Amino acid sequence: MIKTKKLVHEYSRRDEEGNVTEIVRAVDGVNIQVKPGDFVAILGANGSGKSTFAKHLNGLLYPTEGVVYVNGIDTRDKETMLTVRQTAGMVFQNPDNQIISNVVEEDVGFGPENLGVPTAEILKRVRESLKGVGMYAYRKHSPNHLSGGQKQRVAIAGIMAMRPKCIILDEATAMLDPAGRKEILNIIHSLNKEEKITIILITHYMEEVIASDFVYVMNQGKIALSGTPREVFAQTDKLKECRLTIPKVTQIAQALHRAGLPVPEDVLTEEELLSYLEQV
Amino acid sequence: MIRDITIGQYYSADSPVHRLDSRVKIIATLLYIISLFMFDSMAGYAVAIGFFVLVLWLSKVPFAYVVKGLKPIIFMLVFTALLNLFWTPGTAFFSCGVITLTWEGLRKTIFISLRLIFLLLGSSLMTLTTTPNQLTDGLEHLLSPLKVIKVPVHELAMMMSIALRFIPILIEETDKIMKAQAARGADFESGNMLQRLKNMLPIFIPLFVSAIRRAGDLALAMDARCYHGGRGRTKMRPLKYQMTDVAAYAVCALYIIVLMVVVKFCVI
Amino acid sequence: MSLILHNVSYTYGKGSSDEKQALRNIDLEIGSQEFTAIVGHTGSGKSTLLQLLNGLEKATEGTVYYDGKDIYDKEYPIKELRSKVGLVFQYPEHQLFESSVIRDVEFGPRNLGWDNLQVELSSYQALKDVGIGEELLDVSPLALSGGQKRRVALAGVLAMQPEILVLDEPMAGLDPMGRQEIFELLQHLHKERKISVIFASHSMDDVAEYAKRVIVMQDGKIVLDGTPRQVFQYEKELEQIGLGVPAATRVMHRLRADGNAVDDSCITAQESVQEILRWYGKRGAK
Repeated sequence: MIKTKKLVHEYSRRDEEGNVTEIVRAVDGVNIQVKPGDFVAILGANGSGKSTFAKHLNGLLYPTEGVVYVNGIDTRDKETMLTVRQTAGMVFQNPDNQIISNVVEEDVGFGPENLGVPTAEILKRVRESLKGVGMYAYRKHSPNHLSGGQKQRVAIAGIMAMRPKCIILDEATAMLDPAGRKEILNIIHSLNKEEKITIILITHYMEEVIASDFVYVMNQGKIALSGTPREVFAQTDKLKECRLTIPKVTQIAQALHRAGLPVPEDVLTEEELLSYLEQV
Repeated sequence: MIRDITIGQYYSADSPVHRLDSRVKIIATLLYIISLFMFDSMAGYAVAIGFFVLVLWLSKVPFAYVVKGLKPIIFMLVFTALLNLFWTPGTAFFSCGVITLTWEGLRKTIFISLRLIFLLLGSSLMTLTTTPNQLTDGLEHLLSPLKVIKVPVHELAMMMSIALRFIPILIEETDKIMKAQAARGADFESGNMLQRLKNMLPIFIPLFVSAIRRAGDLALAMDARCYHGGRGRTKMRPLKYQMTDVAAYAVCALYIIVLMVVVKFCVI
Repeated sequence: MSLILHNVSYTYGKGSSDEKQALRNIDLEIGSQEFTAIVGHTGSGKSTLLQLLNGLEKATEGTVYYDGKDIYDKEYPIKELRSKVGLVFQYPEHQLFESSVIRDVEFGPRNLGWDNLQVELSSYQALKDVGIGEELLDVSPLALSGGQKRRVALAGVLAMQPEILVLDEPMAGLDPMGRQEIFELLQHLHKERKISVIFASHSMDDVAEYAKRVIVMQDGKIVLDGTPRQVFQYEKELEQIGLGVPAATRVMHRLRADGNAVDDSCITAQESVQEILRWYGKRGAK
């Protein structure tokens, strides 16, 4: 579905006179591969380059070096730019800054309108997408009176209405409260399972990646770690180097493991921890 | 205080006026405003006011709500009224020292005030019954002939619609920044004009930075949703005239005819 | 030093059609040496409550007393209160505006009318406290990283030498290490500078780890107030209002609910590990 090969992104810092003072490598030789239908997480601390990397995955940025393929299409090709962006939709961090219209349903229709979808089909897609994220009742509302979680659901519906194969969530939960985060996670998991949409979740909340199929951890523009959540969370020290910490439950399990209890190091959920503790 | 302004606000209701095509309402409003300058007689105003009352009644917008829209122009209204009252030459009916009031002055004052009031009431009735999106859509349609002479009509309409979306957000943000600076002991009330202006910098600069950041974010989000200008774009709700819209045009035409007849044959 | 809210209510847009009561009859006392968390879901009134503490918003009913004096009294020096009770908003880095870091930090103290020497000393000290090195003093705040900007914004309030520091979600948007660093900084200020810290948070794990007192808000009312250990015993009630308890507490509660003889008052990972080891050792001995 999505494949990057030795992707590099550089940008230059300039001083007040416009002279280049520094060239920053925000993304440095990243290779990832995402299969159709996967739920992949990209973890990284602030400034790790994960957000810059994300913007390459649907052609919002072009590689300095290396290649990005979206559904087999090279993102550097300007002719197919719209196809790339339609195939891999993106939800951004700030809920306010990505809603374009003053009415929920008109915002959801924005993508299909741009793609030149016929009117009747737009109306059908808008209806289906809004129902899919549970926001149909709010279709005539102004986005200004919605909660953060609701706004992000509208943004997801706006992407779904373009009929993408993949959705990239670029720290889309970072500005939400726990209830809003839960709403969004539930929705993307159900889109992944029911609609077989490929999900790429970019975040620094460790708890959000537990249920994903595969995790890449970014640090200073490079992939520092990768594997299943279980494999990744077992490497506490390496995560610490990336300015990340493991979930509390895993912390408890690891401390118990070190103390010699028959609890493995890679416990992810409370249920697991309890079952190990109670069966012995 | 900024929140009190009702001009440009939408009053949600289900009425025949609300359901009209926005193009009809824009054209009707324009016609109405022009019509207010077509006469200078009591009879003319009677017809114009009558027409307004009829549309207002059909629109289900409360009278008090429309009148609130006059608040911001009260000063201008009183000023022009006084100007005309005192400085119009003619037959005097009251005189005291330098002040002389004339019949002509009184008549002019009343007429000009009425003209201004109904000009504003008429246009606010349009914005009250039309959502901002319908309004920009209608304008885009009506102005589309200008594309021939390379006027970026679609882009202008898009800008207007985005501005309408972000104005409330920026107002809220201003409020937040003001509070945050007030928490650091900032004072926005004392000092002379220059001093006060300088005191506003701690608000304007963060607001400006934030507006730029939002604009960048929004541009990216529009790109991500395949926006590439007006070319090849379809509409989710294309504007299409219905029978009621045609009827509304007919009513407007009738109004103009009645007005012209009345103005011609009534002497007052 | 004490801050007392007596029977305080706050209503937004009073008299208008969208009138909304944000706070209802709040009685609250905040003393010196506190490290207190205020929790509650979005819209519970906690942000409004924080803004009442330094007189930025005025209660529609009730009174606020600082050191026994009514802050709504006409004669009360409200600017002085703004300095005594430092308020740090959510995403405070968004209010930076000066051309250099040091000038931005000096904004608060200058508004208080202090003399130059005092302004400079206090600002340097504040920047030092938050861990911003001298090499950054003359840099534009916009050129800093996100974490650094937040520290500078924090220093801008600290430079006013508050006795109480009030922060609205100081960790919002930060990565796990960034959160930890902010908390360590707050603890340092609390211990070394004897500042009372009041912060709003959504993370029960953070609250359990750092706070000495927790105030739980719902629908504009204080529904629970006590030590984290006391408050987190009300798991069902906290779940009901959408807050929950720390992961460590949840594990212990569930162990106990399954009939195991564990002490379920643990709130941090460390405590629960110790308690599980104790319980496990005892069971092994049988």
